[in-house]
Amino acid sequence: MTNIRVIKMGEKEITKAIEENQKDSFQDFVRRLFKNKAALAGFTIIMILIIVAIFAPLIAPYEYDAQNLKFFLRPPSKEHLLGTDEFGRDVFSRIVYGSRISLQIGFIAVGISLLIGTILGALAGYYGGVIDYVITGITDIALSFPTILLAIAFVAALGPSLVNVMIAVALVSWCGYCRLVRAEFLSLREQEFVEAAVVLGMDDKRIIFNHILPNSAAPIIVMTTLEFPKAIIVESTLSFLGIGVQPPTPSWGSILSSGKFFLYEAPWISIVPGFMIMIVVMGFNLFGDALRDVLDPRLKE
Amino acid sequence: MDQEILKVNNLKTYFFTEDEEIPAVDGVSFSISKGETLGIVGESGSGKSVTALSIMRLLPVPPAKIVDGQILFRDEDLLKKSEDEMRNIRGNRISMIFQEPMTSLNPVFTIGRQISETLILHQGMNNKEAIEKSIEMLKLVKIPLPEKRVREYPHQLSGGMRQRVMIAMALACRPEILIADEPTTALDVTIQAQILELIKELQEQLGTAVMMITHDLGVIAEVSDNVMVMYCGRALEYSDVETLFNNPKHPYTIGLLKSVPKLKGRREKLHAIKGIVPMPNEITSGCRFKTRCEQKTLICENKEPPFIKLGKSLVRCWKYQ
Repeated sequence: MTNIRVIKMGEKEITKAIEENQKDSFQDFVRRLFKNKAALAGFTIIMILIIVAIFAPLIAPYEYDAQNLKFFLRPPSKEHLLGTDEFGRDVFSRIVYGSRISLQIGFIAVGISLLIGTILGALAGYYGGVIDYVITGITDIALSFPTILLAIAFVAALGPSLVNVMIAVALVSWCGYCRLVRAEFLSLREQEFVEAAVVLGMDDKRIIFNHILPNSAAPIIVMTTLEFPKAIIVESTLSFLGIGVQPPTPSWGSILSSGKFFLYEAPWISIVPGFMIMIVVMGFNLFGDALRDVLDPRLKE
Repeated sequence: MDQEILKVNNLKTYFFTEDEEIPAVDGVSFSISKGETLGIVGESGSGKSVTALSIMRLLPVPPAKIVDGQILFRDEDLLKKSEDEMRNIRGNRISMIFQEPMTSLNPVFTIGRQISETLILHQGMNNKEAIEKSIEMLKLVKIPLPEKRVREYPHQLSGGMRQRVMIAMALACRPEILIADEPTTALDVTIQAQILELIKELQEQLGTAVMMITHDLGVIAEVSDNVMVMYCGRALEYSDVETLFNNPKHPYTIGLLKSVPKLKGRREKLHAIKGIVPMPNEITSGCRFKTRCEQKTLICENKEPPFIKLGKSLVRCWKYQ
């Protein structure tokens, strides 16, 4: 250990190098992401949705539950941009507030199912054997029920409320992540870099979460962006069926549902929330696809 | 030089399948001193890699089981260590590099992060110190522009560079032993020479003991001090490198050396040892090499030769009785 030449870099230089590194890679990431026009479109839709949800009270001209029975089923006009519903409530305001529900369901339900699915899938794929057998069995059973039916069953058991809808959506959608993550782990755990990590003295927890999981990030992200709109749709469906978010809280699904009786007289009540669901679902899909392309280091030019 | 770091006594690693037991490593003993390179040479299935994995305690149990023997690392028996204690030793005091540099690095992290992780894990460094040390390690393994490379991903490096990075990772914590399991097999010849040169140089600088596993006698000649020739789970010859090449004793070693193509002289048909390596559990009595030996006698059939001391070497052959 005598004649190793130790290069001494000043502390400042090192810090600068690290900072530059982080800045560079982030800028590079953003640049490559938004070179894709679809990503830009998707991102814009998502950002608008988030802004609308956060600033709903400022954007909406009326309260979502403000009734004015004198002006029921009015077509779009200056006072009511998207007309009114059967109780004379402003449809535009209700849709604006409804975005909050969709986002909440999206983030929380997807977050919960992502957490459950990833952890179970990782354990099953990494350890195999009995653990894999049990977890795969539970997943298969859960998958054998039709999604909506299972969600309805959960809500029926728990009682209709926003929280219970989130739980129901999470409980019907974790299986996809579980299967995906398990499959990823099955192939990744045989890779040499995992063996190398073992040889370097790392424990299972570190190998699972710090080494294998980041390698399966790309498909998980794609899946999440596909699950996000699905969660929104399941919520809309439950609300449409009347067992989701309870009135007067507006959800796009329940607005759409309430408009179905007046489809001829007041089609705007149903068309706009349906259109919103479509746009938002498309936005997440576009963004997710582009994100996958960018996050895969092998696709870097 | 004579400070013994690793001493393996009568190591027996068997694999147990449903209806048979396969003695992959059957009573192997050797020792490595500080700064020494022990070359382990043998054909596929001779138990070289199993020996290495037994030392690291990385064989899946079951089917593998170390049924007997001792692995003394600085006078502590590794076979008696708990999994936690072993984790502390792996990558920190005993390191290993493999033959697959192309896939042994995690594709989603920069190489700087991968080298630093070991340092953070084993040496308790903070992020900045670890990056600084990583750059130093990259410089040590002669990667040009280490300050830039430290931020690059594995796919941006060539095979030879990746093997250098692997070596940097393995040596980052200044291990006492480096186990190199065919580190140059996947590389082309010029890069092979560079990597071997690098391992030798680093060994001199850092005083690391190296256990070089290979089937390439050229590699052995290049780097080793002592050589152990393995066949079918047994050591057949154990001697210093010069004696082995100038005066090979065991018929198997002689056969192996004859099968190396020569650059000079008349070109002749290359010598081959006839037959194939038997399964380790096929031969239950007599010399392991009896099925392929050209100098076989009656005693070879029935009784296995012990190690016979001849000068500086140990040979397992009745010829020298």
